Amino acid sequence: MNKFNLWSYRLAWIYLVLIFVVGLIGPLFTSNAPWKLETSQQTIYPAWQSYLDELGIKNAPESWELKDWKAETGIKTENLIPYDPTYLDLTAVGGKSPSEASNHLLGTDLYGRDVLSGLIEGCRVSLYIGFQSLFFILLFAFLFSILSAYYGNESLKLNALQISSIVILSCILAYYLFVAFNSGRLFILVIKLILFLIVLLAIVYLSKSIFVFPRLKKFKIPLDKLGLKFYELYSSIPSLILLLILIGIQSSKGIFNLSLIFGVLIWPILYRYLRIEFQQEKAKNSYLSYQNMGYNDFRIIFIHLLPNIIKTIINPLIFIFISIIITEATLSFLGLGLEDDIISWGKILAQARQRIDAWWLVLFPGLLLFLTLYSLNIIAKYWQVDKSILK
Amino acid sequence: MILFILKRLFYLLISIPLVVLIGFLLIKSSPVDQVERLIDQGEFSLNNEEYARIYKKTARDHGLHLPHFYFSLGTSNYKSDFHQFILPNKKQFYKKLLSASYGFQEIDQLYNLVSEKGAFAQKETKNLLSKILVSSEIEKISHLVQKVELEDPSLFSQLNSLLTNLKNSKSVWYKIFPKLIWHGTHNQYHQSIKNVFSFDLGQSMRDGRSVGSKIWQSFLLTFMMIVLAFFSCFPIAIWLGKKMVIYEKKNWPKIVETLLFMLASIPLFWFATMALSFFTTPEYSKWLNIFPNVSNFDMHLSRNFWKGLINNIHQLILPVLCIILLELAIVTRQVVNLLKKESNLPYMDTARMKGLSSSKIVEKHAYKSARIQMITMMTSGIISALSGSVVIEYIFNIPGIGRLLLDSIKFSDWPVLLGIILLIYILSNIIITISDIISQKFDPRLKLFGNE
Repeated sequence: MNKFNLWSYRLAWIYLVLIFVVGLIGPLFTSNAPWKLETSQQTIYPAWQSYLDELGIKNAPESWELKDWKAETGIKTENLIPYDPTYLDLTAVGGKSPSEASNHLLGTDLYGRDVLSGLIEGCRVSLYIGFQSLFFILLFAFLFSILSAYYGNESLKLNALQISSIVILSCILAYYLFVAFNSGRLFILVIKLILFLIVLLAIVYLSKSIFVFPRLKKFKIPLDKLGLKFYELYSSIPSLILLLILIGIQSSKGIFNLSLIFGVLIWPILYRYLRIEFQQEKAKNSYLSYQNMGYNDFRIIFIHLLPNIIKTIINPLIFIFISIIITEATLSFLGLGLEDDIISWGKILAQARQRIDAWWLVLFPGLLLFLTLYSLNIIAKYWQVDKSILK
Repeated sequence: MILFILKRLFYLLISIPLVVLIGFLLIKSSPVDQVERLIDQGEFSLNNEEYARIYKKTARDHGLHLPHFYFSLGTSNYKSDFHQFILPNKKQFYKKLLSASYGFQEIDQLYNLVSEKGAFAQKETKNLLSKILVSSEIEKISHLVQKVELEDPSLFSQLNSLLTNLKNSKSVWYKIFPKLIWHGTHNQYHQSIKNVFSFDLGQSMRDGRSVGSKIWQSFLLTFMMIVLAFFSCFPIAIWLGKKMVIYEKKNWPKIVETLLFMLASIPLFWFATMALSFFTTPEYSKWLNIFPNVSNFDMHLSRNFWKGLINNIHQLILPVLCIILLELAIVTRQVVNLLKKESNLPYMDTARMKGLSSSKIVEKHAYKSARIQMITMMTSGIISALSGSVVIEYIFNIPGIGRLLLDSIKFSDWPVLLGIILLIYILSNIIITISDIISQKFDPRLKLFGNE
């Protein structure tokens, strides 16, 4: 591991942490409101207060909604970047490069919005989408990978009565959840789906303990093979096409819908990784002794198995996080991304197509995207080399 | 081997209905009303009866009046008449009231009365009655019926009695029992499967052209671009990879590797957009205006495909170059990794002790062993290049499959979308089969385990 690789690895981590911090703290520094406003009566800190208001911690006064901070009298110490991402600077409509518009450090886009504050807002949007999608991905991937890795191909033995009871009860449950009480809202549908999966697990567990007839023949349910077949099916479809179709049929655009779509499309990747990790972990000797001692399945999984896995999944999670950011930028570039008033890196790039000589609209967001992907690749390379050295 | 091909073909044919089912499900769950899209825009301003007539006629013409699938599952207050309603407002009215567990008969009576009287009523009453037909909650309906009392007392008494009937028919038992309504083969899914197997994919909803010809032309263009890109990228990548492994001890492989590493992390759409803005116009400098302007490829192609293509083939140079450069970065790295892994195996020590030069070792022996994995790389590369072409064709305005897919999603053009899904599925299967056959030829060991 030579010095260059090591230092580029450290720089890559520093860059990613920087993006994270800018996403959290950045909006504090890009707003119309000045940092400190001294009038004859009081000194207030409007930028800080409006930041707290956005986070939902402490509500700012009502009159601040539509306040025009530029016209305030009093001694102002301006913010670092005195433009809100959605503020339309009417002197700069049609886009001005950094050399023409002196106030805007990186120029403005075609509507007059500042590019630098747009980039910072884009950090925030990327973080939002990344974390929300990660939630869904983790949920689905953990659920299925625990089942298929823990039960493998041999462990889950059910007799015919148990199987039929599970099938019948799950059909009835699906009918009541999805047909009879259908409300049509996507959010409720997602909650119902998660509820269905959890209740299904409970049904399996219950039927295993209730319908115990030792003389009946038991069938092995190969959960692992099913999972593998499903993964094969998933990997044979080019996922970009499925992504485009799902985005085309969604009823309303938004961050929640988009993160749900990402969650549904990306979880098999994490599933495949987690399955291997769980299998390796389970092959250790301690788990045989736990089963011998008579601990039930839930206890072994949640108290002993899971905590040892968490350290190892950070690596693929970062991969997935950044690939979500890049995919979202591609989608916004193609015009299919988020709602119109949310700014993201891809959206700024998309405007460059309308005005070909706007180089500042192409260079800066693209540079950020490139650096993000590059730091991810550096980290990946370092981890691969690291593992091979260990072996 | 022929048996292998036949087996794969059989699986393909069996799975086509499944793929069509998935596409069908996705399409039917979108909120866009298909029949509305087919009606000309100018006819939206007509009054209600005329519009209803035109709507029904268009739906019948395109077969969209049939139920979606072979059966429908609903709560027990559904009746099979429900699936014969065509107008969306009527369906919505019934659906909302049925899901609030009212009886079907009573809803039917109320609806029929309101629509009958509504045709001949006076202006105010007509307004109120039409509002009833689009409201979906029982409170709103009662409120509107109360308003009718002021206008027309006789009508009000009839309406009120039916409304009380309706309210009394609410029962929890409706939701508890399911009901399966069987439609037989007279449904949209069956129709589309029949169409697919008779090679008739329908007409595009956007401009009425046949879907087959639209997809075929775009597919030829994209396929040409991808084949050009891959068959020029792979030889260069393999040559470069070999040289980098042979001269491993020198300095230049490391620099080239870092460069390629950086190149591989550039997002494709950023690279293409930068190439477009910097290298196609004389804005920045006269010397940078190397590549031709992006112009209307569509128009030239629509008159005569092959002539237009040959005349305008210079427009394909920059897109193909973008693909080649980025693919080169990724593929060369993988080739280098493969060859290095092969060179570290024990049998290479024998070759070196025999006195073979490094170039012979790498070019002949390591390469032959690594060929199969390169073929796998190539196939997965071609399949994912189909999705990469979406971005490239959008940026450079080339009418290929990627841009057709984007347009059909933006304008909700479902027949074209189904056609593209089928095409991509069949194509992926064919490419995977071909790659399996070729890798069996290269490595005879594979035949023993896994003719699958």
